[in-house]
Amino acid sequence: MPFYECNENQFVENVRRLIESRQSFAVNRRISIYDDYKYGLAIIPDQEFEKYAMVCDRKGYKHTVYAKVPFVDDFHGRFYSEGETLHSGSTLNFPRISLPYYKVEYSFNLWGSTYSHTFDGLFEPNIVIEKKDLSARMRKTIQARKSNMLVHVLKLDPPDDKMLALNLPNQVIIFDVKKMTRVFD
Amino acid sequence: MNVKELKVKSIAVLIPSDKVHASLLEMGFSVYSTATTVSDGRFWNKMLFVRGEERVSVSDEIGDVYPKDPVITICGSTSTISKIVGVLD
Repeated sequence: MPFYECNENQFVENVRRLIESRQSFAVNRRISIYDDYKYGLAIIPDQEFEKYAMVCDRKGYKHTVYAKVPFVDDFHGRFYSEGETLHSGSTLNFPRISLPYYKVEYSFNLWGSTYSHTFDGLFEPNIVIEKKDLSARMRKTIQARKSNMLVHVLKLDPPDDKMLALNLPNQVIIFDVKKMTRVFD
Repeated sequence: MNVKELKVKSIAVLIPSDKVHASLLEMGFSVYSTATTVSDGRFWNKMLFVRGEERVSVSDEIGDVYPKDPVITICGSTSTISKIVGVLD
């Protein structure tokens, strides 16, 4: 059974052609959250890295990323002290901070073939300064006495639902599914 | 506007995304949200514009890449689609 991968432009145009030819079809959509270390701070483009610049620094793309200030990664509940390596340039496949994302898969079947479009929607960083209760270990690394102190907090917010959706007209039936299994004849 | 009248069209154009954004804002669309997406191993800045029930997304590749060909996906009335396509031609 052939499986065709399309980019956004191709997938939407294929759907449009199907609508215009009055074919009956349904689009399947699978949205799943991943936090599997696929994306790290050293391998994101400069424009995306700038969003994290308040808490970390790097010389350039694929260079080692260091913590600029002590901060709490609120999403994973971890604390990083100043100067700590967050993603080493020599181990790009193994970042220490994983950037979570939604994997979005759209597909439809036609005449025994599957046409799909897949993309990842990255979580959006939101860095704030908040009062946090730090553990004794955390306080030791930054030589702080108070347990409750102001610290940089990296929050990672999921993208808006509408940003994970393709712009398809309402007459297109979209089925949300949990799992897609490809059957090979 | 009747929701049933909405059509879909996706185009890739060789003009800067700033010009596309400006044209959409001039047509009365407003920015709904932005997100960073990754597909085909490339990072994209996706902006969603809305005007009533009509939605237009503009995905522009991040970084110094050549050629820059933002992907514009329109879900709108036939007249809106022709107007946007006309402006971008």
